[in-house]
Amino acid sequence: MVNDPLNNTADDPTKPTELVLGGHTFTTVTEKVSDIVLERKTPRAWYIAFAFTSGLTAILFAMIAYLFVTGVGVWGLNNPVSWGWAIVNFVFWVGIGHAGTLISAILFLLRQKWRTSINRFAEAMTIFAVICAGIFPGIHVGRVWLVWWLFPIPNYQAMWPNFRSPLLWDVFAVGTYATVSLLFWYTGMVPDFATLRDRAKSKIQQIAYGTLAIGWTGSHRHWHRYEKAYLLLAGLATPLVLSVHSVVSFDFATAQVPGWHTSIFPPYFVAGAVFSGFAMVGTCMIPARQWFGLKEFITLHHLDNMNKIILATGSIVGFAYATEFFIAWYGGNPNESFAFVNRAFGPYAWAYWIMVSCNVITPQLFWFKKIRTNVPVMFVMYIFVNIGMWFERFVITVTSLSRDFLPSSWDYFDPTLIDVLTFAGSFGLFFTLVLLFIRFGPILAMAEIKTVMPDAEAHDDSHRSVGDYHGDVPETRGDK
Amino acid sequence: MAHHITPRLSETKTTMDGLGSKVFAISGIIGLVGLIVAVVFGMQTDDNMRHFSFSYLVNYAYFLSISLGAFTFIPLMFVTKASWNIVLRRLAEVTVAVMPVLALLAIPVIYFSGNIYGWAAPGAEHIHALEHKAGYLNTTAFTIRWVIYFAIWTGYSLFFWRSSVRQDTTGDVEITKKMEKLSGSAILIGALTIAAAAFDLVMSIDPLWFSTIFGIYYWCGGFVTFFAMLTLAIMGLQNSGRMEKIISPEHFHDLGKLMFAFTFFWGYVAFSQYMLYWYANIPEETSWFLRRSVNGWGIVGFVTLFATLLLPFAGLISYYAKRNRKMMAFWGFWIPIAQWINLYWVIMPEFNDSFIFSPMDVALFFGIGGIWFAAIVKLASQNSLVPTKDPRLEDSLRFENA
Repeated sequence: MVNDPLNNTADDPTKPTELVLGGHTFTTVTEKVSDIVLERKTPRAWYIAFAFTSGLTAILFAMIAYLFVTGVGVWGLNNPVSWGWAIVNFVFWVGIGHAGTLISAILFLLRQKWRTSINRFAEAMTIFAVICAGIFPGIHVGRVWLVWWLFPIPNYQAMWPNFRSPLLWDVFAVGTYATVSLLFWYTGMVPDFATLRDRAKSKIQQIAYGTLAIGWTGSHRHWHRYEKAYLLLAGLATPLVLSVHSVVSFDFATAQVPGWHTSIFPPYFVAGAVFSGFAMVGTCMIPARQWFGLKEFITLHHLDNMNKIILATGSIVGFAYATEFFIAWYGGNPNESFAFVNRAFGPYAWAYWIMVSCNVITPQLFWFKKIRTNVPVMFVMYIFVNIGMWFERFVITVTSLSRDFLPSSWDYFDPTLIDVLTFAGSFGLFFTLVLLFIRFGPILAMAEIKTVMPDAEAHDDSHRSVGDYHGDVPETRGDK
Repeated sequence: MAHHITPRLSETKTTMDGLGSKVFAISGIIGLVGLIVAVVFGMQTDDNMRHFSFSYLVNYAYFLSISLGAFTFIPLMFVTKASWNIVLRRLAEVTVAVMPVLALLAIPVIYFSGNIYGWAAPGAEHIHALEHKAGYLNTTAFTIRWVIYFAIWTGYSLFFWRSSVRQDTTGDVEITKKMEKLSGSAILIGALTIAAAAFDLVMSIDPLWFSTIFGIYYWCGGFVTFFAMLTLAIMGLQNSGRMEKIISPEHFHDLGKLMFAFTFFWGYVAFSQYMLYWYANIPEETSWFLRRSVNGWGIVGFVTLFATLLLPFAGLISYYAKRNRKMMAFWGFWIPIAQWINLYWVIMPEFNDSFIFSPMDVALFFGIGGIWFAAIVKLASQNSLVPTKDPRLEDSLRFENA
């Protein structure tokens, strides 16, 4: 392992870690990334995967059609559990999106240069995850023809939406989030679209990428505007990392339902969201780097760092579970302590322990560098985290509702086949969009990656601007 | 930006020299006088030192939170392998390494716990809602927990400080690696102990009230105050001809960003706690806020809202403010005062239903603060003010913001 040229996890404090391996130059970076879109023949595996995921997507829409025609009774909802998988899936997908915003906004402000290899992909996933998330509140309202009531259409029919409802806040929070994330993603891609436009051979590609590149020429003036816009968007997106999942947590925490109403919910949900998002980025990234030969860009060092973030956020989630449990006892409210004991030892104990094992226990293995840098093992861990985080939302939603204040109305929630197929279908939609992006978009941020390469090193401050639009490349990079 | 020349350590003074003993003496005397004055005040008031106990707690919890802020800052810098902070890290190290002094200063809190804490007050054993946690909230268990907290905090803080000082002579890179290794556990165990300590020290004054986010609320106030005070300390040193050039507007800019970010985060935490309790409107939860919104305390709460959140948020958002020495000095003064007012608002309504402020609060501020600061200066005088042989020092010296 030590002599592996693709292993850059030595972590020597005396010199900076190389973020791009394999002796790449600016030219080869451009070639490598744009060839995936322009030159390389689409791998057969892509077609197979696409056929599968688009099939699942078709199932999603078939399920939605069936739901609309028949009503929410097709789901497993029952009397105490009137909020089932729809909200679980919504929270799950919104959470997935958070890794993208954290990587593109917060890690940018924190000068984490390694983000350049993974930010584009993560940002794309954010958009796709928000699309998947947005479906569920829309379809769960029962009378779907009135779903537009969610939007603040002023005084039409003398009717206003209920501004006191956290569900309405969700519309604003997620709407803002989707808008800013989309802008951020697109702004970052403009220089890369221009690169694709300039290298495209077919007329269709030239027109398509040319349109998307909105006249980018790479002039100094363009870069200058671009940097400003990027920084501003990063600043705007940073509070969104906190706000969106905080508002989602309000859906639960403002209620008086035991197990939902606790003050740590907002930051705890945010940490969980970042946690699940990174796991999903990893789930998509590991096959992608394998199939498209991107190991020189998405290096072990990158994966190591991602795994550290997963460890940190997973531990925050564990900290929140522990705090909740402690305060449920400390607070002395019998309903509250019952809710937690019921979670851990009641009829849904199986779900609770899946959640704890996947979210708190297994990620602790990431304390060990051997595991943080072992690709197959981390892939399995990512899957665990995805499972665990879905179950977290399931446990929160269903355990509290199924045994509410009135024991005579307690009931056990069983999902129907429609529930399962709808959720599976949302994965189909998500991965279909991911596959389309891999095939047609610049999956690595070429322009940004170049800034962290030794070639971007300013040998003389006078031409520091070449490609170095973040301006913070330490001078030691060239001394390797 | 002008052409940037990397400063060298040799261009400036990086030791306290004579200044150390002078500041130590002045600060120590202020501390002792403050404590004595406060004790006299306390004894003159015929309340069995009750007012003194509460006032002591406010100031003790305040200075402890600042050291705990520094406690989290150091390992955070190591796990992220950050280099910008190296030139100012030693100052953070000594701020935490005074843990043993803070442990001694905790003794009056434990001694007077019967005055402060509802669970230790006479008659507490008859309160039904406290029965189930009597095994947790009692003076023995409380004392044991504080011994554990301080054992952990002292252990980590001395480890970081001593390792860093040792590196000044050896320059051994392995020391950095060792500190990086232990940093992860320092953060995790730090988070658990700080949260538990916040429940014990502040939240359990009203033993019937609870909030899961309270640990983060307490910690974050100290964290942001730490950055503000660090900014002031650096400016003070620079005015005395020390640490000049090596800590540049670039570093102040980053400190300003951290002050801004955690001012915002503090507001977010405070909002989460308030809004969720207000919205659900459950009496046992809202009682805490109710007490703090009537009889003059509500005005203090409003002052807190503006002083700790809205004004510094507006004042620090700009790039220019963070790079302007005067502005940074202003917020470096402002934020610690605002956070003190906030902590006062959190604690003192439990002492008195209506607003109260007495010279004793000021005396104890200088009393505990003086001793605390004298101890920090004492430690800072023993070694260089900069980790001179940290492998990332060069990066820190030439650090430039984007």
